[in-house]
Amino acid sequence: MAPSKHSSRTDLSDTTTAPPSAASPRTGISGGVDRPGTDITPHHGTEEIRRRLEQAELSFKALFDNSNDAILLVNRTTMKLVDANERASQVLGYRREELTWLTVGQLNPPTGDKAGRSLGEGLRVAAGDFAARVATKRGDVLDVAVTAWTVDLPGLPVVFALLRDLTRQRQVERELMLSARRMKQLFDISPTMTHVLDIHEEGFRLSWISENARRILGYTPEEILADPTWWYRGIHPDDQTQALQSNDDVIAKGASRSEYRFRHSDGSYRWTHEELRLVTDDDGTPVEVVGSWADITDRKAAEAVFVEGERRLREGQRMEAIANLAGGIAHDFNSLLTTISGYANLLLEESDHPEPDLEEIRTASERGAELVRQLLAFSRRQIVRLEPIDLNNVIARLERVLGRMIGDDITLHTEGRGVPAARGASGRDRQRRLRPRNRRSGRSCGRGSGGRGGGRGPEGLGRPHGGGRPHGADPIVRAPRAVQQRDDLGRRGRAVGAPLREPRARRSRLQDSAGTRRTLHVGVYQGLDHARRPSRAGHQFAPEALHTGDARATRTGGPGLDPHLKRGRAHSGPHNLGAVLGEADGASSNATTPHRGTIMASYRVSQQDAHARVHEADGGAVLLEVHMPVSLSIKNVPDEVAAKLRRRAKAHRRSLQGELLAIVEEAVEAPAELTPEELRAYVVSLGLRTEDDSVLTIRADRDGR
Amino acid sequence: MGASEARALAVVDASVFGALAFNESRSGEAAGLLAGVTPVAPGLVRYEMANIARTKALRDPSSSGLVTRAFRRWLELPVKLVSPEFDGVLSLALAEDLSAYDAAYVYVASALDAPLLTFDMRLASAWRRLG
Repeated sequence: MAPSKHSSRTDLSDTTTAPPSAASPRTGISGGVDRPGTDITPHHGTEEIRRRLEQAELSFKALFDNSNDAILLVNRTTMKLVDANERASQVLGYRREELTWLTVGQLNPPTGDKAGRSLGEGLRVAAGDFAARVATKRGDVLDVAVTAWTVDLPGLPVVFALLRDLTRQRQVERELMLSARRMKQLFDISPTMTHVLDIHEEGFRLSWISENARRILGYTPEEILADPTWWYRGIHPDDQTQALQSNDDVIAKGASRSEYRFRHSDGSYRWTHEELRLVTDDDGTPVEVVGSWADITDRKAAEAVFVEGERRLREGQRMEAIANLAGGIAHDFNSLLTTISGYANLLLEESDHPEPDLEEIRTASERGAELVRQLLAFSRRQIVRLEPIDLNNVIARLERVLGRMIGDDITLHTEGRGVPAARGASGRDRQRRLRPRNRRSGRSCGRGSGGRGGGRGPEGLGRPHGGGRPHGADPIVRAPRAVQQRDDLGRRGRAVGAPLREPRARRSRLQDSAGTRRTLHVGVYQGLDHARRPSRAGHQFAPEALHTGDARATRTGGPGLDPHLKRGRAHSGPHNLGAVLGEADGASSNATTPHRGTIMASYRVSQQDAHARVHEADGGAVLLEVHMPVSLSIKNVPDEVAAKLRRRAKAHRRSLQGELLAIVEEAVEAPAELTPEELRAYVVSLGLRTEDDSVLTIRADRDGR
Repeated sequence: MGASEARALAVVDASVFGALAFNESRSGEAAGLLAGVTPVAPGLVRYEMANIARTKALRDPSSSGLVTRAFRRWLELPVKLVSPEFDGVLSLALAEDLSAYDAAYVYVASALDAPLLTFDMRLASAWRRLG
C-alpha cells in the first residue's frame, strides 16, 4: 500500500488516549485490518500477505478517496476527526488537513438551529442511518443523510460516517410541496372544477376531484369519491343521454365536451360545461381521463335574456311598422273627419233650427277624431304632456314677441271679454305644469308661461264682443302665408296629435275676409272637443260642444274682418277666441252658453314655427299654451362675464347656449304671489258662490272645541 | 325683501279668508280689506279654512269640486303663518274668557301690534276690548 499522502495525519492512535504502537506506523488505517495476534502464516506466505494487504489498502484507499459521498473517520472517544475524504472536503468546505484538526462538534450548526440534530449527537448515540445537519466552513447548514458504523480497533474505537448531501433533495422536496400547495390554491379559487376519472370496464369512476367542488356544487371531495353513483345521479334526467355520450366520445376521440344540468347540493340544477381528455401511456393504452367542469348557469341565463331581447326587438320592429301604417291611415281618415265635422259645424252655425241629426254627425265625427288622435299619438310614439298656462299672459306675450317680427303696418287684434285678471302662474302651478318635452334635449319646449304681460287683465285683453276697431295695444299679426292652424287637438292631460284642419271653404273665406294676403289668422278653428257644462257638476265634462275661436289680425287701416264673420262667429260666442275668453267669466256666460271652460285645440304659426295649444286651465279658465322659439343675442358681453359663463356652462355640462337658456328660464319663471283680488277673480271664474256660513262654522268650531 | 314684506301686517282670521275664498257675499269686502296688506295668521287658520270648506262641501255636494279647487287656490295666497307663545295664549284665554282659538288671533295681533281683520263679531269684540 502506497504511503498515504496524508499519512502524517492519519495516525489513528489518539496520542492522548492510545499508544500509536497499535496502529500501522504508516497509515493507521491498515491497523484496523491488521488484527494483532492473528496468525495467518499457515495460510499465506508473508510476502503474499503483505501484497494482499497492500492491495486491500489500495482498494480501500481508492474507494475512500473517490467516493461520491463524504466520509469521515471519527475517534468515538474524543469525537475528533481522524481522516476525511476529498468529497468531504468539498462538501464541508475545509481542506482535508483542516478537517483533521476539528472535532465533530465543530461541524455542528450554529446555536439556535433547531431544525435537526447535529452530526455529533447522531454519532454519539450509535451507528446506523440518521439525518443530521452540519455546518460548512462558510457557515452554510447542510442537511445530510448519515450512515455510520464503528470499527473497533484495539484501543482505538473509530466511527466511519458516510455523509450524503440532501440539500438539493430537500430543495426539490420543498419545491414540490410548494407546487402542490400552489396547485391546491389555484384549484380552490378556480371557477372550474378539475377531476380525474379512472377507467374501468363498467365505466369511469372518479378518483380525484378538486376541492372547489365544495364551493361550486356544494359537495366535499370526500362525499363525491365515496359514492360511485354520485355523478350519474346528479345529472338532470333530461340531460343524461348527452352526458353519457360525452364519456363515450372521450374514449373514441380522445376528447369530448358537453353541457348538461347537474344538481347542486341545495337541490337546484346548475348548468355545467364539461370537457374531458383521455390520458394514455406510451403504448397508447388509455390510463385515465382528466376533465374540467364549469358552472355556466349565469351564461345560460344571459343567453336567455339575449334571446328574449331579440324577440322583443323583432316585436318592436313589427309594432313600429304597424304604427307607421296606422299613422298613415289616420292622417287620411282625419282629413275626411275634418271635412265632415267642419261642414256639420257650419250647418249648425248657419241654421236657426238645425237638424238634430247634424249634432249626431258632429258628435260622431268628434269621436272619430279622438280615435284618430290616439292612433297618431301611437304612431308618433308621442309623449305629450300639457301644462296649464294663463291665456291672458300668453296673448300678452304674443303681442310682445310677434310685435318685433311684423311690420308697423300690421296690428294684431285679440278679442276678449270679461276675462279675469290674469296672473303668472304661481310656484305651485309651475310645479304642477306638464310640458311637452323635447325628446332629444330633454328641455322643456315651453318658454316661460308666466309673467305679467301688458295685456294682463280684462282691460288688457282687448275689446268686448262685437266691438268696432281695435284699440290700444292690440295684438299683432302678419305673414304672407296664413297661419296653418292644425294639430294636436285633444283633451287635457292626454296625448293628442290629430291634425284637425279647418274646412277648406271656411279657411278660404277667412283669408278672403281679411282682404290681404298679409293678414295672419291666428286662431283656433276647431277641435275644442270637450266642454264642461256649468249646469251640471263642475268637474263633469260632456263631449258635446265644439268650440271654435280665433284671434284675428288685420292690417292697420285695412278692411278688418268680414262682417259676416263678426256676426256669424264673433257673436256666436263659442266660435271666436274672444268669445271663448269671455266665457271664462262664469258670471256672464253661464246663462248664455253651455260651453265654458274646457277647450283644447292648437294652432301653428308656420313661418315663425310657433305652436300653441288651448286647453282647460286649472279652475276651468281658458288657457293657451304657446311654444314659439325665438333667437336672442347679447352684444358687448365683457370678457370676464363670458369667461364666467363658460365656466358655469362647463360645470353644468351644458353648451353655452344651453346655459344661457337655463339662466333666462330661471329668471323669467320667478314665482309671483297670488293676490286676494286674483283669488277672488279665480273663484268667480269657477262659478262658485256659497252661503255666508264661514263665520258660523268657525264660531261653532271655536266654541265647540 | 319682497313686495309683500314691505306692506303692513294685518292679522286675518278664517272668516275673512272664507268669505274671500268661497265667494260669499262679503268676498269683495274681504278682498278690499286684504288689499295692500300682508296677511298674518296663526297656523290654525288652515284648519279652520279646511273645516269651512268641508262644511260647504257637505252642505252642497254638487259644489264640492269647486270648493276644493277654491280651497287649494287659497292655500297659494301668501299668508304668513305664525306660532304664538301658547302660555300667553292660555293666559289671555283665561283672562278674557275666550276660546284658545280666539285668543290665538288676539294674541298674535297684540304681539305684532297689527290690526285684526275678522267678520266674526265675537272675535272683533274681544279685540276691541283689549285693543
